[in-house]
Amino acid sequence: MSDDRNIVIHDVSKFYGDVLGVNRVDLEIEPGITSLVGPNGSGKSTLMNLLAGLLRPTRGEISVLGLPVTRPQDLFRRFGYCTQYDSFPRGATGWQFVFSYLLLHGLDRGEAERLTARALERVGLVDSAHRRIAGYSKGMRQRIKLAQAIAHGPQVMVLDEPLNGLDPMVRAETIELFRQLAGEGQHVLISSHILHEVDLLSDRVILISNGYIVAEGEVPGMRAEVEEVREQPLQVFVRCDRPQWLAGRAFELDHVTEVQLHDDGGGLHLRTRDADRFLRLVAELVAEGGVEVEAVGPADSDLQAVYRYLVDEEEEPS
Amino acid sequence: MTVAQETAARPRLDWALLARQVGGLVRLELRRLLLTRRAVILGLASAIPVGIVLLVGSIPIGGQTVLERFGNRIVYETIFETVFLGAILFFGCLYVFFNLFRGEILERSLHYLLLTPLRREVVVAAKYAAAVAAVAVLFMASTVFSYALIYLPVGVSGAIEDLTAGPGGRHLVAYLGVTLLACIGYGSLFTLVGMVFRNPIIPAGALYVWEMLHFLLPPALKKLSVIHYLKGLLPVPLSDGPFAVVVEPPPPAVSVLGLLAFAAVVLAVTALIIRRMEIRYTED
Repeated sequence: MSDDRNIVIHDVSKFYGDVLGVNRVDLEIEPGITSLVGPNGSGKSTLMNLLAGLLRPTRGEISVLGLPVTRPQDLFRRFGYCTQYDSFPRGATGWQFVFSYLLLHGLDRGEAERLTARALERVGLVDSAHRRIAGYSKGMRQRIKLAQAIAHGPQVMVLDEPLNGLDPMVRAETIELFRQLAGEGQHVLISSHILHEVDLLSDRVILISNGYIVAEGEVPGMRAEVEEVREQPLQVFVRCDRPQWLAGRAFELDHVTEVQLHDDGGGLHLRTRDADRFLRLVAELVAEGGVEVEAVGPADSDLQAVYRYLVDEEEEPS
Repeated sequence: MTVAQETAARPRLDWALLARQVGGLVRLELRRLLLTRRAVILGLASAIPVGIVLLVGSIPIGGQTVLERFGNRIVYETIFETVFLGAILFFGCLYVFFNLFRGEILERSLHYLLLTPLRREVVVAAKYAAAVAAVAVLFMASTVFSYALIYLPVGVSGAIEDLTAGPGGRHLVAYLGVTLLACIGYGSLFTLVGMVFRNPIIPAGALYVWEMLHFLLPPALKKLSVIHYLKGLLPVPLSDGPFAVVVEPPPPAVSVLGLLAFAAVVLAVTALIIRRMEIRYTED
């Protein structure tokens, strides 16, 4: 564990029985806005829960500003966590929710009231503060969780999908709030399954897929990497009865760049810039009776899939 | 100075800060317990003994009320032992303490507590203390009101005389003590049960049978029941029936200290469990 100013995740794995949560994660996160991006189920929330000590790593160590996450009495004076859970203490109003948990920091009532008012103002919920949270909209619930997480002025804020459910105007205000907090020298770690949602506001992005960190870095570099990988040919394998004949047909296509026959003569690997067109060709050949296909699929799908997923999300109109 | 250095330089334990934090948690918990539907249910349950004593003290059967016919101390002891101790205190504590953590797990709000700068052991202790205070206030009030009603046949002056000059005052203190100790003992047990089990029916049913049939148990096993120690503190001894295995009740000091020690050990186990606990609501 090296740096007392950073979040340090060293060789951390988390398994739920036989199911992988995250595996062999090594990260050092500096102050500023860092986005953790990956598809749903990729391990983002697991990693955030590990950072907050709500989960225990199967292996590895985590420290936040040099503090072990197993010491809540030290950690949570400087750490605020807005979880994914859309649930609240029964019957609480927005004010009570933020105020009650501030008292647990040992603040006197006056100070807790001041910080509650400030947090509610920052998330734009002053007018609804004395209404029950049960009557809030999804966006308001998201904001009241955010207010509770930032009310005590933590140096590290971990926010699990904080922009979910926010309308465009509030989203813009919330993003501005993140920028302010990061500008004050704080760590803001945000998760999202939409790269486009966070790349403009982030200082750096961590891409996670299937529990593995697949890429990390500053945003311009990451965008270039995404584009580069996107343009790289995709590797496809086919197991069939006439691989040589199929290889010949494949080479007639301008987007196929490389073909390699399997040693056992029962299939081939090829690289193509347009996998969809190649797969359509295979389907046509099978329909014509030209070849019998046992199996076909992408051979290097993991990184491609996550990038493709993220880029496709980016291209969708919001 | 980095955060880690600053933390290391701070005194190990700031008692004033800890007291404010625990005070905040106790107030939060008391509001949850006393200003919600749970309080209404507990209030109704605690009114049952009052209602029963009122009935047996005010409705004459054959020219005499039950209190007059059998003696107010015997009647009250019977109601306290069978109805209050044997059912209301047990199930009242089950209702409150089982849900102390389990309720928040089902509500998916426990993580808010675990994300505060409090050691998890302190969270257990503070929540438990708040619940004991809430339950004890309700049930001790019930004990006072129901006990006051045994003086219906003798009126206010007779009551004052018995409470001040007679054994009435001492008996009332004993009943209040037993009520408090029952909340402490059963409370700790059901807090632990709530941490370990998702559904209270089987463990609570097994514990209830164990407690209610304790009089049939051999002397060594009797010592493993909460009610054995509580009954030893009751002021009016009643027979457990012809099949009971009769043993000398433990000395009051042993009963009191034994129950307190039992509660402390059970809470320590609960604290160990919550210390290692992970928040994975999908499994609950």
